Amino acid sequence: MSLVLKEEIDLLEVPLLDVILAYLEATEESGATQYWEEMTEFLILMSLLLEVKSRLLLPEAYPEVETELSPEEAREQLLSRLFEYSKFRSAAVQLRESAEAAAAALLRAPAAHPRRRLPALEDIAGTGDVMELHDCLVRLVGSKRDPDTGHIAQIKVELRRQISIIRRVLAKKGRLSFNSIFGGEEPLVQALSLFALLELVSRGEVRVSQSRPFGDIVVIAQATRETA
Amino acid sequence: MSNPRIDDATLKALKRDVEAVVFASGTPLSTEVILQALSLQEPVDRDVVEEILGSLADEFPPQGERGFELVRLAGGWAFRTNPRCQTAVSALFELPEDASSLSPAAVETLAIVAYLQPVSRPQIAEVRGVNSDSPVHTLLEREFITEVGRSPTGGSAILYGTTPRFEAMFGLSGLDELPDLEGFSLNDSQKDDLRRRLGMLSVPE
Repeated sequence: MSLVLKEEIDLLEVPLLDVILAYLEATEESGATQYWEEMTEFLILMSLLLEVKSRLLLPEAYPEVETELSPEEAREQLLSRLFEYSKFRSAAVQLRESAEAAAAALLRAPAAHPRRRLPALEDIAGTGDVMELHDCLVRLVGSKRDPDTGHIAQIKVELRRQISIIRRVLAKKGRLSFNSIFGGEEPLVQALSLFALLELVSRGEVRVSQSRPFGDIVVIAQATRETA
Repeated sequence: MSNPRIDDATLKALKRDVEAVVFASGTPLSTEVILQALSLQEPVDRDVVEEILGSLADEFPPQGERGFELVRLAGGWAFRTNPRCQTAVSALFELPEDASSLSPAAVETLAIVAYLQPVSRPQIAEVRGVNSDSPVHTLLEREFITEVGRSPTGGSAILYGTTPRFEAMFGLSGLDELPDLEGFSLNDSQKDDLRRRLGMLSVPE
């Protein structure tokens, strides 16, 4: 289509070889990078032109095929398509000019910080602002953080370690307040520390006292300490 | 610029806000979004905002004396540098890619999509007379076109339409700014020439 419009093809008078040479020249000029693809397209185009040209040159070779187009019809069809195609071809030239003019100006890059206000999706829907909807979705997806699993993170606590802590404090001070040492710990740590304390009690290493239910536990080292 | 509903001081503050919001956006901002950003009501405040934008556009006219201009682009408003300052700006910044790197086939395909959208690949190929998969792929990659649906007929072929990026890159305020396609029709003389070359008219002696 393009070659016919560029007046490089006169189907009746120009030999096919000239058409091919004109095509190759045009390809070279345009610096087409998709060479093989362009060639394939060219072959399809050539087969179409060959058919039209053969109909023009040998119209009597076709009349027996009633279902096929007459030479006139084929030409009319091609002409009609060329007329239609020519409009888009000119529009493409205009578009390229518009783009070149627009490229002379520089839009600011979007602000580095994401916009705070997220318009409600239902407000955007129907406004036709596809870019806004796109931005909104990107920000929504982008703002999703990894879920905080801190509350279910494994707490590393061992009975032996808790026993060791109690022993160390008692070795230094002789007594300790359970709440002052373990009051700020996680419930699980507190529970295990209590088990550790009970273990030490059972071994006779410590003595414990509690002035009231659920009150602080005072731990006092026994004079004689048994080892496990 | 005056509005009977709003006093001058409020109007000035509003104008300042509109200017700031459009400037901060960096990308075209629709009137709807500006209204929302400034907690204004649709439709009562729309006229005010549009009046303000019009006033700002007068202050920053295209290719005027200012270093930047306020333009309608891709369905919204955006500040951009004055094209007359291209040399100065390009000395410091790389100007955005333009359509010059698009092949003629790609620009043709883009024109077809722009005017006929939503349009399928077979429809594009029919207009161009050749398979257009490659240019369609390029345009999709460059985000000038996008899939917009499936054809209810023709084997559910994918339909393509242009993107706001296309409008922005080609300096269009919207698709309705595209020139009338019929304006690109060949004139009678050109048509006759084509007919002649197709052997449908005798060559004048």
